[in-house]
Amino acid sequence: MAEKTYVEDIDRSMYDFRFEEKDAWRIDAGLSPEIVEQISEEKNDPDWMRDFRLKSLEIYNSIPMKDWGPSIEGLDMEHIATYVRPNAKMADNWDAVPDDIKETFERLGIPEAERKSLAGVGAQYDSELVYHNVQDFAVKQGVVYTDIESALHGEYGEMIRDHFMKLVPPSDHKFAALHGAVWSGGSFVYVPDGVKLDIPLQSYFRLNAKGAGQFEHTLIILGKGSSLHFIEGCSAPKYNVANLHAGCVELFVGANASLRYSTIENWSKNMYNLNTKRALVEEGGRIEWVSGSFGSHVSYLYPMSVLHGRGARSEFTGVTFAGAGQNLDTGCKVVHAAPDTSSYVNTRSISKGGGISTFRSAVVVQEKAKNSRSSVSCESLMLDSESRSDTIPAMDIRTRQADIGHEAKIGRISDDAVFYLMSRGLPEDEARALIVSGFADNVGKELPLEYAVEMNNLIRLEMKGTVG
Amino acid sequence: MGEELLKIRELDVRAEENQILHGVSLTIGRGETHVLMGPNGAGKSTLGNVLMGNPQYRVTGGSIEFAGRDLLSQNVDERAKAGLFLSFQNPVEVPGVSLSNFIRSALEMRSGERIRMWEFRKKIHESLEVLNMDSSYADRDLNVGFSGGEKKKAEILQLLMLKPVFAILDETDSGLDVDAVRTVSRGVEEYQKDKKGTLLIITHSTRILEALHVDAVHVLVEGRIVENGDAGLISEINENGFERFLTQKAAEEG
Amino acid sequence: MKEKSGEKQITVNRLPALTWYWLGMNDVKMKSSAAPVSGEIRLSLPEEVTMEDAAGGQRTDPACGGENREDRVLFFGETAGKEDPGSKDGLGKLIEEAGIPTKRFSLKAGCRTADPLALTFRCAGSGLVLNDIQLNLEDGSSLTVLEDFLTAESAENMAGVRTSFRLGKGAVLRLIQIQKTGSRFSFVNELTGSAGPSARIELVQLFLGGGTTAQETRIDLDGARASFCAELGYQLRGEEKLNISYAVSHRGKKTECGINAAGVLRDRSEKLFAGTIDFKKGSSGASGHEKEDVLLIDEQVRNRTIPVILCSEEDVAGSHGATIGRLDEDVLFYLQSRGMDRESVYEMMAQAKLNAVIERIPVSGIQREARCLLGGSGTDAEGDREND
Repeated sequence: MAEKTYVEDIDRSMYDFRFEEKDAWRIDAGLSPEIVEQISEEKNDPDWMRDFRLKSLEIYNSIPMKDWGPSIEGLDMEHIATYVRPNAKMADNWDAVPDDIKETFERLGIPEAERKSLAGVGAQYDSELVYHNVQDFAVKQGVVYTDIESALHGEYGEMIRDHFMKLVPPSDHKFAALHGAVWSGGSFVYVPDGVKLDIPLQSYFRLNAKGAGQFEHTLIILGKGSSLHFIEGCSAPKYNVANLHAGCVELFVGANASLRYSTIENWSKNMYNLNTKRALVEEGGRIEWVSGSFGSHVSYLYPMSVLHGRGARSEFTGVTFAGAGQNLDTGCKVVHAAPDTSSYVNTRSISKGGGISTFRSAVVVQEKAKNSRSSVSCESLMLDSESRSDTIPAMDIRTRQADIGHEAKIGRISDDAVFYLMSRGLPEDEARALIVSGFADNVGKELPLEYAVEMNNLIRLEMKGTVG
Repeated sequence: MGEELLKIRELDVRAEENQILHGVSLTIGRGETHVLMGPNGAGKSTLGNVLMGNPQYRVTGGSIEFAGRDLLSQNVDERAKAGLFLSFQNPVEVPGVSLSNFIRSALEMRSGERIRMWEFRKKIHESLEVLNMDSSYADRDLNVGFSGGEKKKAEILQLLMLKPVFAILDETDSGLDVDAVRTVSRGVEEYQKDKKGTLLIITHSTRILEALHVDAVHVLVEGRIVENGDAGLISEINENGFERFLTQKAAEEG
Repeated sequence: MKEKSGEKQITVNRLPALTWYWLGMNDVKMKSSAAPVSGEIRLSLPEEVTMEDAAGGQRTDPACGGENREDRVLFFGETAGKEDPGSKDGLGKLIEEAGIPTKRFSLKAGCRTADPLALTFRCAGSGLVLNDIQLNLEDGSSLTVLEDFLTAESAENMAGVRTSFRLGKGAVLRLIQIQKTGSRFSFVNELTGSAGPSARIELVQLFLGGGTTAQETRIDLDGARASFCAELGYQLRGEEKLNISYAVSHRGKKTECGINAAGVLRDRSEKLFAGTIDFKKGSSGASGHEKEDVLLIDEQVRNRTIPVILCSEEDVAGSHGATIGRLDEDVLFYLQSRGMDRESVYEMMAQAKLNAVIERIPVSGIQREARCLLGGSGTDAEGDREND
């Protein structure tokens, strides 16, 4: 049957394969000032960074665990290795990358995508970047795309110091503090004033090590009037112990600049994904978040846009698919802090096989944000009664000169739609998969083609793959 | 033509990204009835909305003079106070405001004087009668739960009560059955004759025009006025539709 | 934290699903240091309704003797055994600790009264004035209840009224609550209850003034096809603060709920509306919808809204919508095109929002009373209408 072959085509093994953790160096599990100092030593941090890490650890220890949202009881920091260095130096051509690591990224299709459609690629394996390369045309325009550690020691060191965890301070929440203490890897991007990069940059994060954490830091600074599309991908093989991802993304969007930040997140289902993403948008600038959340055991993910300059805009388009064993708490935050700002949120959530998805948002319109507009629309789809879907959107409006709209809907796949498709010869599960793909199309149509295809495959996998 | 009441010169209008009206010019004299016809999507309703000042449309060129004054610099309510009236194609529903309270408030706004209740009641009942509307409509919430026909009648009721100098009727006959068209057209006739009103009737059919005296007809196609004529044009369009204007335009462009 | 001597703090309006604390929406704290006293009620009692006074804080009728326990279970229907958040650290705790007697009103099976049961609460005074009301509507009965919470503008104390109800199979409760209290007056209005199969609750809540108010409504739709509809209108001025919380739990199959809130904020007033529709497992075929429409008139107002949907059942339909801030452009254009300036249109629409809620009051006498309390324009036109 043709249908069956199709299922096999998108076998989960595409993400689930793993290699032995050979020759890698891993730090002792747990969290202590000694461990943090050791990481700092390993990474040859400047002094200010070492102090920053230790201060962050103090903050981490002083903040209580929060009492809302999905449980993270299964996460025991005593058993997480916060730093695992692969046995590889960072390379700028794939031939110099060790075979098993190279094969990992080959299977994930990264080098191929790089040849076809990207202006630059960074690939992180466990705690360190193993590959970084930017196309010449981008370099010539002054675009900087590099691992954050080398940037820290290079000519952009000051710029990084001025921006690093300024938007997401370690005091923001417990896992931001943790990130500040043990961060490693990630990318630094700088696009000079007026430079418009038409072709995307991509970072791919792969966590191969068992019982480890990944804490990459992404810092993107866009000069005035520049534009960039940044794509972030992530995956990990499945283990029966908890892994932790507590990355941090800080985006500084200059005046009249435009940044699109796309993520297809497909962590394995033993992952605690406690990620923090935030953008500061200056006058006339624009941030567009495109976010697909498919993987992980537990996710807390609410990209935040701070509309700081007059006329700044934010768009958030997201889809979350919670299957068996998953509790995905996702959404976004927007703060209107200047006049004439606008935000637009459009999300879809799908729950299946006992999965729990929660859409959570906060839109705050400050008193000074006169003539601001916000529109939030979220839709949820329940695929069975074992699952759960919650919608918790908050709005805090402090000026009358605002225009705020909100709508949410929850429901199931309409029997009429399934009947209609079946009457045209589709088997029921295929019909349902097709309807769900259509439901998630808000994100699909915002992604470059290859990524949209990957996302649809993930949806089909979730819809048709047997549970467990 | 008598005294010029409305003078539109070379009007260009955009909505969002699209230009909808291209250099439209039109002059209407006091007391006259003009008809604006054209196929769907020609921009007829746009013209009506622009005259009234709908903020969804942007005037990018040309001018409009009304009663000797620049119209485009005036707010929506100033235009209404100057005597302009638009009968909406899809009037909005306003829960919590009764039709009669609304008309009374609008009248008081225009005159700046309080209106005596019993006098107002008498007048509104007369108008309701002209339109074959039950007097209970006066107490119902403005347009809430009204059928398409009732909404159109409620618009004409406002026309009769507010007595504007100049009324634009935007597709007032669409979606109405034969009887309702007759009733609405009786209301318009009353405005035309007894109140000496000036009219711009926007329509793509001709039913409402049968009982009305028409001074001039303009045909709008793709945002341009392609033909001006007298009432004779109505019967021609009635028989042949807009085919001739469309092909004529295509030929000009080709 | 230690309570100051004599000062009592209660936590009300707890959000069924917590979110970021910095939003300040998870709950509301109310404080009073006055001694609790039992409030007086002026009432008009329809013949068919029986009234009993129960001992302090008891939710059941001691006259029932041995059936007491069972009755307790009965009273809360299938929700028995569920934790009542109000009695832990909410209004219920205050009422029980102070031993405030319960006034219980009952209507026998199949009994339908045309006359409303009207309760006017005398909330003002120097103490913490508490009342506990129970409404017990047996199968197939139908009752309209009016609760007025009124004080003079000068009242500065705090009052709390707990109203709980149980509706038997097919029973209908129409409850109208009108609040107009002083601008330095604090008030907790808690409404909880459960509805049996095909029972219906029609609630109209009208808030016309009050310093700091917490209005908490928790409804359990236990029986199949039970339904709840609420119309809420509010108008805030000065520095008034209004916290509204609705939590509707759909437990029975094909249960329905509809919540419509509309309001106007002026001056430096603040409002928080938290509406939760909770589709419990087993509520297949249920539908729940909520809508809020807020008009912000002045520059310094603050409006917070959190419309929550919780869902563990596939076969349900839920929605919520909110529009906050300015008038819809189409409405504004339409009304301006009739010659009203912007200000007048906003004023008219502010009145209209409350009028629309008042129109939902099922008894014309109460409608009239509400209009009088609302005051302002429109009342004279209504007078004319009456004279026609």
